Amino acid sequence: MLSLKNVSFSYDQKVILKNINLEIKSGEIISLLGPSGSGKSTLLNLISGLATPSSGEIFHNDIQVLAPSHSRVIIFQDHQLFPWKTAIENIEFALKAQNKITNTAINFLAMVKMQDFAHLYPHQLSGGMKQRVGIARAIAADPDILLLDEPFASLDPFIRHEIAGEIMSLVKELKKTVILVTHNIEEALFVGEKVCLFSTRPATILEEMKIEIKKTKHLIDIKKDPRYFEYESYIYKYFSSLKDLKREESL
Amino acid sequence: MTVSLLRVGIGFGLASIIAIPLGFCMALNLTSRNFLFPFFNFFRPIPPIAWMPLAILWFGIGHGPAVFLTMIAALFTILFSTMMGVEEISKEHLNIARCFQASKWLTFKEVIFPASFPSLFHGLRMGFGLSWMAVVGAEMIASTSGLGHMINVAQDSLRTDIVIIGMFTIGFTAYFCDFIFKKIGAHFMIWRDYRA
Repeated sequence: MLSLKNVSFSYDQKVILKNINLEIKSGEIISLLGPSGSGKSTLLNLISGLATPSSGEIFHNDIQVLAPSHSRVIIFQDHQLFPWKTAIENIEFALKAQNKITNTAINFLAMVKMQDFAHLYPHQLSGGMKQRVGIARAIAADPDILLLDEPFASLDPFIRHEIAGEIMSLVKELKKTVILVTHNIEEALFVGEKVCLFSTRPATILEEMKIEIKKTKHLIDIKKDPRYFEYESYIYKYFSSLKDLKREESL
Repeated sequence: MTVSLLRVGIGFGLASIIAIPLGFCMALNLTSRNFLFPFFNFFRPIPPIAWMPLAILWFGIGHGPAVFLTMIAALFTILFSTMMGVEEISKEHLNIARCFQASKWLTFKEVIFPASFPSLFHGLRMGFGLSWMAVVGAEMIASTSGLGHMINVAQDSLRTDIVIIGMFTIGFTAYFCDFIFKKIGAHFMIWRDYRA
């Protein structure tokens, strides 16, 4: 279980995040949805332990998060594979870091259907293939929580749907807790069992929506559920009202 | 030519042995960087040939001054290229290693060293060229053997042909050595399509 209590973060005397309170149960999949630059990625960095809150506390399984840990692995938008390592060597790195046997690396590549490309370097792989390897590398570290920082944003729309579907099926099968950061409403609704709506800066979570759409393997299929459009229109209205509020404040 | 190459080999080798660990140390440790950087930055702009009088006083005439000058010529380039390579490592790559809780040694061996290798290698290649230039200068002034000395003697006896042969030998040898460097670079940096 992950628990955020009054988490705030300031950088260069600017308040980025203010009083974030959030409880995430083990195995839960949530989306953090908000405008670009609202501080969603900063929150992921705080949860991962790569950054420290200015105030407030984060607890993972009742232990305060004070440093990065392989139990909370972050997956970046642009995969961040090591370019000097082949696909399989990238996986092996995660295993070596945990002092695990590296000959199981191929199994992790097989999970994302990349076993036939094990000996290719990242520059020889397509964007979607790199992202698959990035996910496999993160899973190889055996985290409890996967922190996805807009992992599908750099992919073209044709494969984005396919990869998002495959990856979400995989993490559900492995019973991982997932926190997805995105500014894409479709993606947030497809992935999240719960969607947390961010305000503009200084950001806080203003609303948590429980999503009751039947989850399918394909991102495009969620639009067959009429509730999808209700959620979508609610979210659009929510962000428009934020803009109006900000305009009034500036006037 | 063999004598000159041997001098470059020793001087360049010494420069690499000193500069690479020192470069990593200065890039990764703030205290050593604050302490050593001003020192090396002060000596960096001094041309290798300006060290010649001191080199003759310290080592006499022969191999000593030539090896010393080739070492000085390569040292700063390799040192600062190594440092630059480490400083340019992507923060995200280091964060990945931190997230996986990789040990310091594993992070150095599998992230820091390979990530900084292109810059380090570029420094080695440049340093070798500079060493080769320095050895000829040193041999012209303080040596009784080597290509530089041969050109000097030829000049005194007005043998333009030998001077030109000496110059061509320097050019071809440097070109060949650079070709070898290029091949080594292509082998070790296959991951970045090394063509330079």
